[in-house]
Amino acid sequence: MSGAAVSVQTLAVTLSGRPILHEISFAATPGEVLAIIGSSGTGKSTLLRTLAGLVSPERGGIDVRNGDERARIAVVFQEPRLLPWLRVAENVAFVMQGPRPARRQRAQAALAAVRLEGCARIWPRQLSGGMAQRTALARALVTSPHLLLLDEPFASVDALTRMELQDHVVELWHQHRFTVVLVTHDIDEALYLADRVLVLGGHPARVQAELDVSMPRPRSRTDPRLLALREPLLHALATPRAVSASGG
Amino acid sequence: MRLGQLLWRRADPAKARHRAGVRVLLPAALPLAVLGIWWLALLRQWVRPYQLPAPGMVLSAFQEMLARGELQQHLAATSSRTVAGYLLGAVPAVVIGIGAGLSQSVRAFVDPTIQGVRAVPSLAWVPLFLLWLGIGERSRVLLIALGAFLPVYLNALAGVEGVDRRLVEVGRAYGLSGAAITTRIVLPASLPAILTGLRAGLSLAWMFVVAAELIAASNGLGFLLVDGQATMRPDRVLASIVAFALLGRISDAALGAIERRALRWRDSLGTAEPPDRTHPSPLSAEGGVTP
Repeated sequence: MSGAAVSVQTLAVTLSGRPILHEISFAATPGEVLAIIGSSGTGKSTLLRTLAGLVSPERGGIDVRNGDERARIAVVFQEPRLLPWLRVAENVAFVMQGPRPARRQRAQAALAAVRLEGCARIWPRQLSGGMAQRTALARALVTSPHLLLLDEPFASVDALTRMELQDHVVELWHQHRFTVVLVTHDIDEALYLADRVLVLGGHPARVQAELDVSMPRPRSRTDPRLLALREPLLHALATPRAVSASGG
Repeated sequence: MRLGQLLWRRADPAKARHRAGVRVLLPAALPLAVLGIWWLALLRQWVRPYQLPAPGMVLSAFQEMLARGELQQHLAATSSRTVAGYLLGAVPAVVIGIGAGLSQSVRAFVDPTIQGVRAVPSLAWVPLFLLWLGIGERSRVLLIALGAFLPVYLNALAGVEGVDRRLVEVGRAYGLSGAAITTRIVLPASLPAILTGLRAGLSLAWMFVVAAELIAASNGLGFLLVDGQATMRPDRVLASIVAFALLGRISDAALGAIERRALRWRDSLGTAEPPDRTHPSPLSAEGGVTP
């Protein structure tokens, strides 16, 4: 599986008459992990929902391509959003098409990839928050996406689970090399996972700053080089129109 | 698991046995008390037997009607017209309710009229039905259908309207068609409300079959009630009431069982079992670090 190339050109989004995003332009190369950070209410999720096709832009264009083909896009939301009337494996198979045995087999493989193979037959209500979010991750993986959109996917789990899930995303990325656009308000999460961080800010939101995190994976959370990058990011978040920075 | 268990769970096995015994005896306590008061009222002559016959007499009347095949005949007449009326009301109600929930146009077209009909007490339509359709089976079935229609429609509409938008977004994000989102997300998500409506509709269907048979019928349990009153046979009236109670209880229990089966995924006090008891292995296999 390969990643998709993402190109966003002068994107503007208005919701209920209120401009949310203004002149947003960025690109992601195939297999790149791009993090978008910003304070609450900036419009990060709106940007991701626009990329997912859930919000129509007012102006501008989004191009997501896998070579000459249209890329497959999968989304993991902040909440697991599992369908409570389907068992765990059925929830994963839900987004697939084709004959039932093949779907079941692929769902089982996706569950194994997120280490939930023993939970296929149970109901979503019986899962913990972290397990439910991993099921949502399996549901995204099962479609073999070229672009994985993550909308603060680990915001609602405890710190330890969050770290485990982050490692899991890194592991899956190593296996599949899909392009990732991750929306988060957690600077450390952005630095740990991303190749590049975009800082969104202002009303309506624009890209305020961009930071390269050119470090190989797997990374250590206590790596001084990584920790040194917190400063320019915090500065960019606090200061409108900060200059571009790079690290590594 | 019931709310009481959730609030006051105890681990003591002796107390658990005691509670199990209480659970068996408790539902019978009130009917037995009523029977006792009934006996006492007759014994002390607070009421006359022609007003309220002894429980034994009611039982005899029940047995006598059964032996003659009379009760079965009336039961069959009442049940068949209830089922016919219920299906005639509930099936379109589900379809129209879902349609109105899904489409603003359908809703704008049907809802004001249905709300207008809802404002009229259903029995007020009886004279009109009798004028239009005559004193016959059709007017009775139509009255039952009208009674069943409204709660089913209202619940189906509320069910579709109440579907979590975020779940619909999952379908959209993964490229499901509108039809697939409707059948695979909206309908299952609104099923609890639809089933609640179907149960409410069924109890109203039983209410309306009595009304229909009291007004104009030559058979059925409602007819038996009127006949018992006219012939001064309170034992037959009470036997009919018991038969109604049995029919209502059995049909509601059947629908309740379907509801529990269809909604076993729900994490509610009425349906859920504690996760640690149902599936201990996958959860405990996660260990202490994993969520």
